Amino acid sequence: MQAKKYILPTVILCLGLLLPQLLDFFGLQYLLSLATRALIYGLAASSLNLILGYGGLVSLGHAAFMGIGGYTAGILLYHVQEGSLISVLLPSASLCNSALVAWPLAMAFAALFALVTGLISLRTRGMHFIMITLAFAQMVYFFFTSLDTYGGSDGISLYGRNTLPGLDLDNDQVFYYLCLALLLLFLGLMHRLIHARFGRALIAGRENVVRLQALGIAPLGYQLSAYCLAGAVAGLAGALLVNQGEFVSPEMIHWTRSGELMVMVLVGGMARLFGPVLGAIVLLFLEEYLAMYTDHWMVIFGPFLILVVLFGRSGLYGLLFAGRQRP
Amino acid sequence: MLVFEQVLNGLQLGVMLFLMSAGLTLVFGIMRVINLAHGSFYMIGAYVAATVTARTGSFLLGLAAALPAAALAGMVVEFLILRRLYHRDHLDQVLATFGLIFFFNELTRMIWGRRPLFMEAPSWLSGSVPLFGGLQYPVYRLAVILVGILVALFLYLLFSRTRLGMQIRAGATNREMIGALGVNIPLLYTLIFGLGTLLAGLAGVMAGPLFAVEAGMGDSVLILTFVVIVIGGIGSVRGAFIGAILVGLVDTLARAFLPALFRLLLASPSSADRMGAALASMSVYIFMALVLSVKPAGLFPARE
Amino acid sequence: MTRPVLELEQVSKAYGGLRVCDDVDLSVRAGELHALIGPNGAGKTTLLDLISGLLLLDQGRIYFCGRDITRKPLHKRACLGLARSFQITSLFPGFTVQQTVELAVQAGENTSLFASMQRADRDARLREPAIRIMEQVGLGQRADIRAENLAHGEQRLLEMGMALASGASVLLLDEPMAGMGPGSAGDLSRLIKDLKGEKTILLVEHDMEAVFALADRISVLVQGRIIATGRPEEIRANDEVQAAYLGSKCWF
Repeated sequence: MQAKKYILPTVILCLGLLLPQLLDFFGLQYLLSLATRALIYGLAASSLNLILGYGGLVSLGHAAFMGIGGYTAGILLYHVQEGSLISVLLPSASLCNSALVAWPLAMAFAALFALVTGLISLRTRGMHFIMITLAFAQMVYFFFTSLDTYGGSDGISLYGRNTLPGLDLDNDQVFYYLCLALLLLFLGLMHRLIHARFGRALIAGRENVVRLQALGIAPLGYQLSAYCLAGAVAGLAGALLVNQGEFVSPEMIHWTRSGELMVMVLVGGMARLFGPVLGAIVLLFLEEYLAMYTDHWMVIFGPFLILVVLFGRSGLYGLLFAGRQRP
Repeated sequence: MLVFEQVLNGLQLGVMLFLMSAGLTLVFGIMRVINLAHGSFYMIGAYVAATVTARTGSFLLGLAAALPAAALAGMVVEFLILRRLYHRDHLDQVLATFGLIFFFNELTRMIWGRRPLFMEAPSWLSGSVPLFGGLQYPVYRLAVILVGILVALFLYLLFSRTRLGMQIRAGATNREMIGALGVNIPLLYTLIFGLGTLLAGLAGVMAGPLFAVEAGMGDSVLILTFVVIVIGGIGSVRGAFIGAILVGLVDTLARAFLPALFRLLLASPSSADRMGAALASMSVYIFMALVLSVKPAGLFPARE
Repeated sequence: MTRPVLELEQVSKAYGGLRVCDDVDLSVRAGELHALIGPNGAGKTTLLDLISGLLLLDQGRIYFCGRDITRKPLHKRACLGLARSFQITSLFPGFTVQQTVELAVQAGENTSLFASMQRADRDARLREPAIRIMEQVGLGQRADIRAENLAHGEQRLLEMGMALASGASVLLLDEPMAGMGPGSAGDLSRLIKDLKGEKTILLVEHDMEAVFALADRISVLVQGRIIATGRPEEIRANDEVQAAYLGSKCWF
């Protein structure tokens, strides 16, 4: 009973570890970029899962964190490549270019935004919370759209990626493995959190917030911490995405992106550790292949989503093994 | 006089936001459903009006076609889909109505193509009139403001003088009670929803000559509508009115004057323009954050 | 006589024109079982809501162990040692019985946010007290059943278990026996009796047999006002109390 749960994740993990080699073998190298993006979106969706699936916070503004992280990395990369002002201010260009500087910075800015907006929005609940998170994300969208130096609404192309000592990130396979490693690292962290007292309090806040308070636990601290962590990780995912595509634009902050992340969490399975990764894979491949058949695949996807919501709530993960859902 | 002109522009935007948010705030407050697809009815109103107007040459016919179209579409959506979401949690509602947006946007592209439609203001509303101070203001925009005020008056009379209005108001404060009083709740909900989408459609029609008629036009208006509702208070039409006017004014005035203000403060005019423009686009949201920090439930919450 | 553990002074709460709690004075002594009775709609649950912090009062003061908790939020009062069970069962649907009780134990620990990173799943410090409490309320065999799948009576026991597990010194019990069959109600009654002395209990109940068997003192709440307070024999003999119940079911 216990072992059955681990079969599919293990299989997927093995597949994931060997994917670049498999793709090489079948001559499908061009799919590596798609797979990498699936991992990155899986990371972002997993961070959303923390606050949405486990925490019950319907945040419709998660793409904003990705955008803040992405733009942080993107702007630094841009300045290094342009050889302009900022690299003069900082000790050396290579420092700016380093992932060890850019990515933590991306996470920090995203976490800071999460802290400030979280303090305001987490005091509300239900519909208020949803709309406020959406509004804040829109604010970020408009902010970056208005930055003409960085391409405004068109965005900017970057040439090359951040650097890490000892690894050649410009190599797509190396980059893939890095994303995989980061994803697994975060999932491990999430697992630890969920099974700790922290996770219990967070999930209890989702199930019955008044009762939790009546027991003596104030949900705000837990929710805000989860929110900041989720924001930081989404910021990292944003930085990774910008590196992967070597391009940054406000499109990644458009509110439909936030919606897509939610769809990934739902379709994959909420409050399941691997669910969102599954959802990301499915959604990205769907977009890629349905788009080949018809430009208007959305007209089918919309009703499909509605049907899933109305009739199939446990997601793909729940479908695959109708096991007991542990909180 | 530039200020006065911008104030009028702000009122015009505010009035359109009011049309969007009046119905939606009721849906939020009474049926407690969060509906992301409200912008789609704005879009339907615009598209139907644009098409009929182009075919027949008459703006009034376009209007007459668009309003029932939006109302009917709304009621069908309510009947088929929204009804099943009333007792679901907000995530389900968000995702399902999100699916509706995808569907409507794509359907629109399929029927009308990707190019924006062109919609002309009717000739009897074109041109400008002189207002005091030598200002020439477009008749059409004045008409929009007028329509908005009339709708606000109509809603006020509806809520305070008619039985239907009373039932709606009662529903906003206590949903269970009106059921106990024998009101046909499913029908009431359908009507409320239809009223909301009709108003959204009206906003869409009026927006046609002012903004681009294209798929997805409802999405950005929707978010502003949300801001209005959050500021005004969920469930309160009065709050929606005041919130809408405030948001319309803040957005318009900020966009008009912040760059100029920054020019006074900063040496480089191009950075001033950029910073001013950036801040202006965020002004509404900052305003929302300020209001919320003082009044977390909005200015006129219908319920505590 | 020592300072009462719980004191209400002129507590009032009104909704518009309706005074749900009208100038209520109440004091509960340490270790006593104080019952709160009254006809339906008298405001008993509202009073418990005011004491536990679910509602904020309009006028008056509430003291807990001498401290003014009138403006303190819900969770702070619980941290101070005031536990509440709810009349309308309020559980965590997806949590098992054991997880629920462990959560209450965790709440009683008053861990900081950082300390909450400790593992909860196989922690003896949570599991052992939880097992003891589950045995105490009679849910030992149902440890792995999800709260939403429990029978009604078992849910009431879980409510009781949560109140006990947090380690609170004062229990506010809102109709703990509501909807329970005579057998289980009897068990619960015995459990509450065993707690007397060790915990201070403010009990709202309709089951008059239990009330008169358990209570050290009784307060009678009618239309938001306390019309009498005293020992069970005094209350039984009180004319005003009799009059308040005339016309409704015979309570005695």
